[in-house]
Amino acid sequence: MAEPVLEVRDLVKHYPVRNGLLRRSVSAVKAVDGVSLTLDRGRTLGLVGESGSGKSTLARVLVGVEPPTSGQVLVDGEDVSRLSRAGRKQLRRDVQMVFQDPYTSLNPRMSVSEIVGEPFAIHGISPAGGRRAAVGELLELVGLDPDHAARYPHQFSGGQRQRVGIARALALRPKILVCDEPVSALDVSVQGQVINLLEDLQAELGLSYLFVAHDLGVVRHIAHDVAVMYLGRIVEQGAEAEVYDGAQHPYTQALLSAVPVPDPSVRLVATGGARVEPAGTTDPVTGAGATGSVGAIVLEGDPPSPVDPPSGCPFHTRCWLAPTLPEARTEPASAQPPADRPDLGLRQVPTVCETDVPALAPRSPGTSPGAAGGASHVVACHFARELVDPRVEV
Amino acid sequence: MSRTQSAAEEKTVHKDESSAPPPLLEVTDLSVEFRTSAGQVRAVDGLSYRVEAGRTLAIVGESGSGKSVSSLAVLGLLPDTATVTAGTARLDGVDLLALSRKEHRARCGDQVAMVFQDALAALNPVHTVGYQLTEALRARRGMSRADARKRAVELLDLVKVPNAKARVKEYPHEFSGGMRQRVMIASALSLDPAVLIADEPTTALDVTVQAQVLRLLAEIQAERQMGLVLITHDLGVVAGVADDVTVMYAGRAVEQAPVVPVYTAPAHPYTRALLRSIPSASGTGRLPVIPGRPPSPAAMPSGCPFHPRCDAVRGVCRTEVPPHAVPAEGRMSACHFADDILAGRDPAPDGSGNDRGDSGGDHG
Amino acid sequence: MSDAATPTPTVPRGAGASSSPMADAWRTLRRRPDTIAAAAVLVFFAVMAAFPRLFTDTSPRSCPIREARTAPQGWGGEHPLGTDALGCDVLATMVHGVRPSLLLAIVVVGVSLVIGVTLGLLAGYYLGWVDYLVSRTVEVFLVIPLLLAALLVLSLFKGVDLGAGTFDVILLPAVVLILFGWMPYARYVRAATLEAKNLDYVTAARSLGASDLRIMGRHVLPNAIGTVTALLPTSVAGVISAEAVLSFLGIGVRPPATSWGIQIEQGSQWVLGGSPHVLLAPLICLVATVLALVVLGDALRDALDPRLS
Repeated sequence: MAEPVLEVRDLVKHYPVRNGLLRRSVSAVKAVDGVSLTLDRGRTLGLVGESGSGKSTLARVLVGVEPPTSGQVLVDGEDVSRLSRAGRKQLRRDVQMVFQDPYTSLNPRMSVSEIVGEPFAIHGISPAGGRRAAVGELLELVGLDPDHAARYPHQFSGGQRQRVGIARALALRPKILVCDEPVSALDVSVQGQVINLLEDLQAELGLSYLFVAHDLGVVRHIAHDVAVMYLGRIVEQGAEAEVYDGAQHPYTQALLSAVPVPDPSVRLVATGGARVEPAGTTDPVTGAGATGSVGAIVLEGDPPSPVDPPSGCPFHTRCWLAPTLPEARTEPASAQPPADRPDLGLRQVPTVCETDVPALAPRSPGTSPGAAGGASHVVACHFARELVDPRVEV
Repeated sequence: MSRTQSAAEEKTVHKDESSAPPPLLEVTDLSVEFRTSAGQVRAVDGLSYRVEAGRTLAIVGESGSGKSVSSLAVLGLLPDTATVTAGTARLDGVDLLALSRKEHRARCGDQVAMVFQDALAALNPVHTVGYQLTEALRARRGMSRADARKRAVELLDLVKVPNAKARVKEYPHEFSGGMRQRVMIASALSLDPAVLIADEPTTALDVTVQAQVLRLLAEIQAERQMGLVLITHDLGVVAGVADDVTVMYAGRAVEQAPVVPVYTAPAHPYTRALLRSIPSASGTGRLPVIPGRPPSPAAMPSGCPFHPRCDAVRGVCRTEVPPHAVPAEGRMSACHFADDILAGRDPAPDGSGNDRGDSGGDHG
Repeated sequence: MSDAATPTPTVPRGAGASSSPMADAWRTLRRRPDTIAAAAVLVFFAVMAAFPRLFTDTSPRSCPIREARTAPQGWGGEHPLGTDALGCDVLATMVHGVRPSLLLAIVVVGVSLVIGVTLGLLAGYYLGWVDYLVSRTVEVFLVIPLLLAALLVLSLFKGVDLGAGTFDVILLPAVVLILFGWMPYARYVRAATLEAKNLDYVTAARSLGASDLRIMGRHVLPNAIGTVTALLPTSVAGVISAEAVLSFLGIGVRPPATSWGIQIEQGSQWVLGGSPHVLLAPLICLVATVLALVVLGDALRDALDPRLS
């Protein structure tokens, strides 16, 4: 059952930052910094993270648009980088992409039949029954009227364009679809239609999805397994239920609690006279707990730049947990506020967070590994075992 | 005809609440039309809402529902192809829409200000943040340069931009997305407006940053007892911060109510369907979705604009525009069968339910 | 409920919304009267270029000096548009100047367009050393003065017999003007390519395994060429007037052939000398041609864009 169709091993993607007259590479944007993943056949792996976390770069590397800096991508056990050019092209048919913005992902000057038929033209394939019939079938498969094939993208709504994009991705009968935020540009009432379509197609064609999204609700709905990325690394990974209900990494917990839920009893802000203290003076843990109705752990600041990620654990500069740990208080204050960010004040975090990159490892032996043979629950945090926080729920 | 009827009903609703403090901003029966190649197209149709001091009104809708256009109209920022064809927007007893363009502009910023979704586009890249923050102060209040700079630092402090003293001298591109949105908020606050209209202020932001900005907005609002209009498509955000909700569909308000009952007992089929279609913790299986998509304003369906997508559609919905029913105290639903939807039952089959919509108000 | 089965186009544009782009383009063009007028102007000059004898019997080379600077005599007179400073008939000169002028303009703009678009596309798409090479070349050609280069070319071709065929007479000015005319196209296309190549549909094609050639030809170029088409009509005017300057140096359209450029250049000396007609006649023709091209270019660009049809 647990048959991996896609394996990523230690994948690294750095973009050099060139400077000066000689265009020497002075530093690098560490977009993806050592990621390992496994996607099983017929399953969906959700990849969540904020902008700059490297999730979209990872998607682009997987579909072959960007070459990796190092690391391996294995499709059906075959290492993509070891293949010849022709072999890569063949393999590329197995991994296709669905894009975020249905308004820019279709060439406005090509008709729908040209767009959906282009994969055949590129690979010189003449499908049985002719290209025309094949395009009609694909359109029908994604719920579009084949008679509309001669129309142009601007004549369709956003949801319909996204269906055209999915039809194009399916033309070469891929095994894996990499979906990069496939519904985030769509209206709420249309999002569900596309999600249902993707689920139907998975059941019908046995596809595997790598589903990249920032909307945790959508990922929870569609994914079997979830990986959380922060600054180019995976910080937590496991079966959907384990990550959402038993998040162990402080970042995952903050992310989950910051997601606005459509339930007015869970307020992002306190109502009426009972106002929360200004976030800066409130202890994120107790403060949030004390007001009761306010569920969010509000992280301070923005994610750091991937050009110059923090040493040690990449999350330690924003971590809400680290300063509250007893280790942070007993150790000498080694943390000086960075010169450009004196606002951070004297954040004292355990030394180990600043010096050692935490490895992705199972932290709580009590929980059983993924029920259906999925990935076991792993966390990249030095203090993950300390976290038992029933308050965080989505 | 149905329009005058709905306006009359709107008035009665307000009469019931006459004990409440007068609203800061009251929009009544607002209609906006666009001139397009397909003729005049109505983008907003008979919208009414009120914003009270210290309360947050969320206007929820999908793209094309008219939620942004309606606030642009209030602020006098409509593009040249659009005109306000009916309605009033009373601010402090003065109808903004009856003012000349110049007077209208003068009142905006002073008493109503707006925060836009795309903070990078709304800030001028060639001026420092401090300069832009106080542009209005210098132009309108004749503030001196030194005072303006001091005020700019105060404003950035107010929106919790760290190290404000140094950062007023920086340019917009040196700020992150979340910080830029704070600058936008500070700029909107520079003239101490009574009402702040925020159009998708956090849509472009990451969730952790979104939480920061929403919390900041709420704090400032509470401190100044400001009225806040939050325009958004995100029902999660609405549940998290709003006090009152107006749901818009195809240019009309289809449901208006305090936030909690909208979620617990929606009175309009559109609201109900929208809430059901949110992917949530309940997990797997097919999502219940709303079939089809919102109508184009150029080709509005007859009768109730939602009827082609409605799961409780009856014969009357196809021919009659629903009145603004009052299925319960303080609530409005533009549905012929508002009472049934609110009670969670199916409307009676065709033939017996035609006069349902008029019986509103007997729940309270 | 079947959520997926309700696809209808947003705005159905007439019953035949699904015909080919060219047929659509033609239908749109026909609906615009300014387009028809512009096309008529161009057809008129095309006929004039092909059959100059239809418009005048007078030879542009018979220039009796005693008839110099005759005022226009109107249709029916011996010199309907008068004569120039040398006594040559203005109408005849103008009519016989159409062919070399338009031919030069078409050849120069066409060839520079091909060179510029190719180099701009390659530079914008591949960046790196290709871009470095192209961009620096563009800059070098932009700073060399046209006249200096013209003199250089002149000395290169000194003593070479070029013949007197239709193309032969425009060869020299064509070489010079192409050499110094391709850079704007290269710059515009490079910029547009940089923008277009990062769009999702280009990434989509790449993820499908499309070759660079296919991506450039099918996806980048059609969406990058729009800005360039706006340049073309004015380039035509530029070429025709630049040719006049070159003719001073002896590398314009070679006598005895005439051109609008030469005529405008010579006529401009007599504007204040009581004979403005010498200038006005060819100038009006030039302006009419350029305006017609502008209108037609705009219409063509709109018509070929499926979003606007």
